[in-house]
Amino acid sequence: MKKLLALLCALCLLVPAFALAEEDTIVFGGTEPTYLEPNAPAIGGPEIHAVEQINEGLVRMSSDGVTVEPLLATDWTISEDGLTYTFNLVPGVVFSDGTPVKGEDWEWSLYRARDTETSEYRFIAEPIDTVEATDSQVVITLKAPNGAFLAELCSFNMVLGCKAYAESMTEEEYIMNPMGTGAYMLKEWNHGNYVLLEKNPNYRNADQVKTQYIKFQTVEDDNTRLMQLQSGQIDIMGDIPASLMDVVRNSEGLTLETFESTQIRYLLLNTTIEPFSDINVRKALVKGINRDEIAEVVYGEFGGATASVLSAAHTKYINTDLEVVPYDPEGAKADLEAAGYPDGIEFTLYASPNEVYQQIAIMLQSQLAPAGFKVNIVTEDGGTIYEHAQNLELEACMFQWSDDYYDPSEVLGWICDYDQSSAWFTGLNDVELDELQAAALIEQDDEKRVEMYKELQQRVYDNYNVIPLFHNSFAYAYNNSVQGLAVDTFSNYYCENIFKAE
Amino acid sequence: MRRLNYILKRLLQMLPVLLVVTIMTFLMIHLIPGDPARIMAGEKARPDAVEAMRVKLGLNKPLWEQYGIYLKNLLTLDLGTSMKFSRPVVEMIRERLPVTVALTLFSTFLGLLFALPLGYLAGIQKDRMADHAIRISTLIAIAMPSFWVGLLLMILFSVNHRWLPAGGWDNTNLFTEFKCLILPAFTQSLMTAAILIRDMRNSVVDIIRQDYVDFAKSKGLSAGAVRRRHIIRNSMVSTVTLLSMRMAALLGGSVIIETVFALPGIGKLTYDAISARDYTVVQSVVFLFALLVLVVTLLTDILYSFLDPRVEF
Amino acid sequence: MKRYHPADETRARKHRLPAWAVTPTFILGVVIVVIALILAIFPAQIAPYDPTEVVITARTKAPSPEHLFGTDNYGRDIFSRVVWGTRIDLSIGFFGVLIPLIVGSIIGLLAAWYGGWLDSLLMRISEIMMAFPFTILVIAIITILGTGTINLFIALWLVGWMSYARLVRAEVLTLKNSEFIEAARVAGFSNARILLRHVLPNVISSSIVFAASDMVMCMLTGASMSFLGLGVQPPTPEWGAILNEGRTYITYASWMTFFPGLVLAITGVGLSLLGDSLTDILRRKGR
Repeated sequence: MKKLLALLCALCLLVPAFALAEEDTIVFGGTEPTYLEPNAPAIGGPEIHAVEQINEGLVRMSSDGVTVEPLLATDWTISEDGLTYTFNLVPGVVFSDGTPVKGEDWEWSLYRARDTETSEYRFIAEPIDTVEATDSQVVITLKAPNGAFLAELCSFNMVLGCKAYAESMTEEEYIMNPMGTGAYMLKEWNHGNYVLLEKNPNYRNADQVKTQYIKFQTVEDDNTRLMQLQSGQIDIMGDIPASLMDVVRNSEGLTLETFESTQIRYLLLNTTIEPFSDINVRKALVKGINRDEIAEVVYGEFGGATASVLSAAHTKYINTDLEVVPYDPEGAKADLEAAGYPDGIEFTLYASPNEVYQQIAIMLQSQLAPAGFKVNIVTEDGGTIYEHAQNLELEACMFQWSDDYYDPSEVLGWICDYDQSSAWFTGLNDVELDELQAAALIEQDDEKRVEMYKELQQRVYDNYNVIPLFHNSFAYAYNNSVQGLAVDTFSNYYCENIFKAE
Repeated sequence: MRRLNYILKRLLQMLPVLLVVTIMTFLMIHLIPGDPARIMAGEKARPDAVEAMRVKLGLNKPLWEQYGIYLKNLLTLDLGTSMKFSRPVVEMIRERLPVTVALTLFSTFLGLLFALPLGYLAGIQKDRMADHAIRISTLIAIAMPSFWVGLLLMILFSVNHRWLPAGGWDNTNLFTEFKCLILPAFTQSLMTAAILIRDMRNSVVDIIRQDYVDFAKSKGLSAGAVRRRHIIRNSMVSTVTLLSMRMAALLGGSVIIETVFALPGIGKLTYDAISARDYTVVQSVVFLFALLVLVVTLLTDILYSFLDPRVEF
Repeated sequence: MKRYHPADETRARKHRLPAWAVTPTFILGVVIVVIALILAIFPAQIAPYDPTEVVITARTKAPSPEHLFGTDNYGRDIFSRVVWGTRIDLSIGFFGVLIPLIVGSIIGLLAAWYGGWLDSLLMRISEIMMAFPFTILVIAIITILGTGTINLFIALWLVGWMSYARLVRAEVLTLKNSEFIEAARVAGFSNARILLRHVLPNVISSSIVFAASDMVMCMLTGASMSFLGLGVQPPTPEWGAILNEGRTYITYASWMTFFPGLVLAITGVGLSLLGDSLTDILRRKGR
């Protein structure tokens, strides 16, 4: 018994010692990454947040979310025909193990982004035809002109890795053990628990990096995460759900930062089966939806109704002529009657167990009832819904989109290019739309390109198959002692300047 | 010798059961809608990437061949590679099993700590105030949903008074790990304690009625000696049985508690693997669970025969 | 020290109401279950509001005389939702147990009576089913079938029948060779008659006792599935689902989680108290 007590006392004494060592560590609380390499399959927020600290690309999006700024390239030129991009490199860059960056590393990295068969974001590198690089210059030739390419180069998967290092191990090992030129390097990955990054001593601006360790602590549950933030176990919590934003804001000692994200929730109507094969029914349905109210219930002041399928982050591309259809249940009912459904329509709406979709579903059900639509909500596991939706088996379902880079071609390609997603699981094969989308992608003239994307938005709006419901802010919160964290519209976290104030 | 034969026979009988378990697990996981190749490739992946994924995961092979690989993995104790994490399943289980085992042992220990004195008290004091109070408390403990209790405890001890961590797993040292286990173990122990108390009470009540207790008393043994020698020891028999069954249930049913307290244990792993359609992980973990349950049942039966010599084979 | 004495029972039998019927625990159990039944039968008369009506202006209101249990994030009255939920949760408990009780008992009865391959088959199946962890099995079945009340029932039925089959089987095996069954056989009664008139009434009591506690477990399992998002379809007011919806708001609107959980616990206690008293009755009757 005495021994046990002594042991416990000893353990208690150990605790302050460990706490001291934690001073120079900033802890993020979030979901555990699956891999730490951007060309691995199924990459999401948790992976990207860590990868962005380790690997760097030629260019990156500046924190305003609109302009492209140099990173490992000092400057660049684009040929007249829009096919050849020439980047001059920052001299003397080395990987975190001290190996100097060579031209072959660039060639290997960019081809890897394009050719890794199972990579989820391989399509971003698809326009690349050839890459020729020396130790001071990278020349990329495209298959066809592409107005979005520079923005695409800012994406997290167009980053530099070390060829010799990667080839010294198996693919499985490499996607767990990345190495790059970024401010941090992977120190330890305790699976199921945390990913620990350490300051890269060979980083070219190493003297500016203030924090020694960044720890991505795995805390799966939102409520638990918040409680850990409040109790000081973690310093930063990203992706705060709407329902908790107010709580965080009113919590003492915590700072809530919100920013307009590119995330939009969409209602998708299957145009290949009854009842939504009839455009008049779709039109009537839209009149029966009160998007403001849904945004209000789900996101409060952090969300708002949206008319265009494009998020506000795409500034100049937004078609501002589009208006949110006002809520008019009587009008909807009349339209429905005119369309040949005097007794109204009953349909099934599929929702994943995620609370946001559950809330939207309940709001839609309640709003559409007076408009003559009886909505049956069916909750299914996300994977199940995706499969059925993809096979065009569902009457109506909901999905979200958030962009990966500053260009409207990503989401509009997804919606308009029938081959990509059957018009986002709605089965509407609009050939003109498809052609316009293809033409917009290769258009060189910026003004014309903007006009084309505006028209695309108008056409999608008029098809009533993909209905944007609302956009919302993203929020992250931190302990007041944390300073210097920068996050942009596309949820990229910049940690070089982060530190904990005393 | 008879005992040894019995054990061997039981072990042999386990084989066909385990074989059917593998078939059922395999069929069940394949019956769940949702294409793993699509889920592993990611939402935005284009069809060609999904197809490449399907080939990589071996999902393009005929079903019987996939089943063969599963069996081969089990027999070679290799368990294969997780579809989602590209990591050896054995490694993933090794990382997470200690958490679940620690939680199970800790909560069982707490449960026993509550149950032994209270159950004994309730039995001795049958139909008096103490008995009623204890019985009603156990009923309440059984009827409360564990996730609800967990959330309330978290609010009380972690949010209102920051005494204990609000879930999560801090493996800095043994002490922090212990702190992370207190609330979940306590939550889980309520149900264990309640079940054990009820059983203990009934055994004590039954045994007090038995002739041999009267006989022992008539032999002139003091009340304390009667309790020690006969009542407690005999009521332990069924308690041990129940306890081992409960431990098997705890190991398997840790999904909820591990979700509430965000503990990286084996239950959470299984649930996540089902949602992610990670076939290899689900198949291996469910098989392990089944094996564990069968072994625990067998051990209980053997233990039972030691504690109660009347049991025959 | 008052000790148990056989005379206690004789004394009790002389009263009109037996002793067990007037224990405070029994009365408490009856009161709780009767209240729950009233709520389940007349929710429309008792609930002050429509349980699914969304009222944007009344969102997350704390408990007040107007809204006894407060309102949720859609402005729905939680008290009304809990009242309507009684019907669903009680039926999950009741039907989740009823079918396994009937089917499982019949299977156990037949298996033990006829023995042979039927018995071995039953024992093998139940061994296999027991080897699967219960929660994970339920989760897997629901994921295969899809969520919803009916599928929840099916999952509960598929895993539930076995305990009853095993219980009844064990009882029948001990009874099979007893004197009065022998007597019935000698008298030339048909198998069906012996099974229904002589065996069943004697073996069913342990199943019924088990069913009482199983009802609570079924309700808890249903609530747990809703907690994981695999339970009833929204906006069905089921207690576990209400609780789960409130989970996100627990730090500032704890009433959304607190009340449904409390009502679930109280109902469970009531059912268990009744079950306990039932055990006592059957035990005394059996003696």
